[in-house]
Amino acid sequence: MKRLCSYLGGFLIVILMFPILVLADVGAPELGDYDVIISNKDGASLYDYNYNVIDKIPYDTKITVNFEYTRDGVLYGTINYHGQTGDIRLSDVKIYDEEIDLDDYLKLDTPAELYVFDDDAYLYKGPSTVYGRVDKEVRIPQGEIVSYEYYNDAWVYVEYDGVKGWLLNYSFGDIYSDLSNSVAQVAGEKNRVYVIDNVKTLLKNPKNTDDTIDVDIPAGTELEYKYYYSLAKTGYAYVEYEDQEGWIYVSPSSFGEDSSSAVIEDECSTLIVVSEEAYIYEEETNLDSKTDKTIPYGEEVTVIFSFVKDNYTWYYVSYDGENYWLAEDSDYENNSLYVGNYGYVQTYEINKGIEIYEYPNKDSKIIGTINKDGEVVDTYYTFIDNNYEYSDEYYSWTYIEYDGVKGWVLTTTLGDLKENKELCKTTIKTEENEDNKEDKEDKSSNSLSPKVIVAIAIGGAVVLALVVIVIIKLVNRNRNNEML
Amino acid sequence: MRCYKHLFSCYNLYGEIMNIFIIMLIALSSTLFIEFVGAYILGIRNKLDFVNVGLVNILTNPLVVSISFFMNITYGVVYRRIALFILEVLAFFVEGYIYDKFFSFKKYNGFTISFILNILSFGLGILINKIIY
Repeated sequence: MKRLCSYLGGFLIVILMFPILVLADVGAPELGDYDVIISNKDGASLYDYNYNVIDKIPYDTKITVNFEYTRDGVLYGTINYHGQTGDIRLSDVKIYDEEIDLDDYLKLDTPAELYVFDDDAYLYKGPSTVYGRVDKEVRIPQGEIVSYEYYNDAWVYVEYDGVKGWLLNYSFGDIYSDLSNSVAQVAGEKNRVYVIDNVKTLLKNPKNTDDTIDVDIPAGTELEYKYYYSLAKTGYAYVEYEDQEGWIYVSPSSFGEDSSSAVIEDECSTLIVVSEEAYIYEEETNLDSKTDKTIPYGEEVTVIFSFVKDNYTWYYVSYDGENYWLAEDSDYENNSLYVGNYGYVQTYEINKGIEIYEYPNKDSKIIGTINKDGEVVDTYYTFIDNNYEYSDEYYSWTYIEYDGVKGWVLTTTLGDLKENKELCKTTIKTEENEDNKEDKEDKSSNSLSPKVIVAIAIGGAVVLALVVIVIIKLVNRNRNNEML
Repeated sequence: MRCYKHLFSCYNLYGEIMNIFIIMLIALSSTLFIEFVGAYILGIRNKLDFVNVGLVNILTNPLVVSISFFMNITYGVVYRRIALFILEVLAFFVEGYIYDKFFSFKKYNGFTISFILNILSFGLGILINKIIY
């Protein structure tokens, strides 16, 4: 019976952990939460995922909207009410506190610019359509460029012609919503587009795929783009080719999507060579153009473009002042030739006695040792050695920088993750922003959160269960005695 | 066994998280009532057997309700239902084991009694919730 109980307990733990693993991969955009109160005198219906009414929220109830989207022209907000996650119609609510404190939002260290490409760039009083428009008629005309500093994941704060307001800067895509923005990022210094396959059409407007311009842009052409309209993993770049201008469907380079015919220049990716066979190719997408020259093992290169074609990933890279084409079979049956970093550095705590290897190989030269406990190291790349089983310590290696030494350590020796930074992000948080966050955390800690209350309930139930187990034993012991 | 806790709509009436203890109390008392009646119908007459029915439900019911509530506010209603199913199965085994070991009523195996009583309270719980909400 004990064995049965332990099996069941283990099964329960695995099942309870499963949702965490699943939720980790859910890619819905995170928007800044905002508080609303139910303004409909009849209350607001709470809908489940199938749009069945599962609850009624009374008039004047304060709730927090986590995410908003439109469906069939109706604006919905996703909320959590009494432990239930569901959607309400946002026409049934009004903003709880319309006062906006810009210090609560992210701020760029240098302003960025947006190009207005459509005629519905309305300004709102806050970072949600629920705030309402600053003026019902005022909108930023098509063709204008506006700049912004303050923003959250979906909205930017702009000023146009003396009017200040919030502009939607995120397209939710068909998966989530038909709520979409009418602005595109103005290109920075890295503004190249590489055409992978022949392109026959450009769009006049990236939100209207039916209105096209005929062109004939051959594969291998490199263009410059002026604006980029992002659709999460793909987007449209505004280009000019032989006196024709329009929007070309592209992928950001680092995603290597093969559905688009073009990629835009990578902003912040690098590769490290983890093989002696990093051969240089003279021509892109031509495997026969392989040379006998290689990028040396252990060297880092900057990615300009990358894309997948005919089952090969092609990288156009910059190394030692020159640009080269590299290729890699995408099947991954053997070990990778390259390991990529897409613009992130993670800092881990690490203990003393850890050896730093020159290459991700146990036979490689040891080039350093960590001498103190509790040190932190920046990590850049992770290499998986398919010659080993997952459970083997030599299966995974991490490229670190510690005290001026760059090399590889076994991933299993890394301790707790301390920080995750974006290498090329220009966003800063103001000191006031951090202070406000701390204030909010202090305030929230003064009252019991729903999770704490439920945790107390679980604790009470556990204690009760233990007491009952003792009582059951006592009751039935007396009973056995009576029987005897 | 589990009365007012099976359905999502349970929280519509007693939904305040601050009222979770009231929800747990109602779930437990309803479950006890249904299972006592069910035990009587099965032919159980011994007072100590009824005490055991009461005790095992006090042991399992609050845990099932509170943990499933936690799953709901943490991961959402789908995972709450999954957790509820698993917890119910575990409760069935625990109750069956105790009935099997301590009952003087030997007409049915303890696990059979546990299965019947749990199905009864589960089904009636759903029915009552449907009628009320």
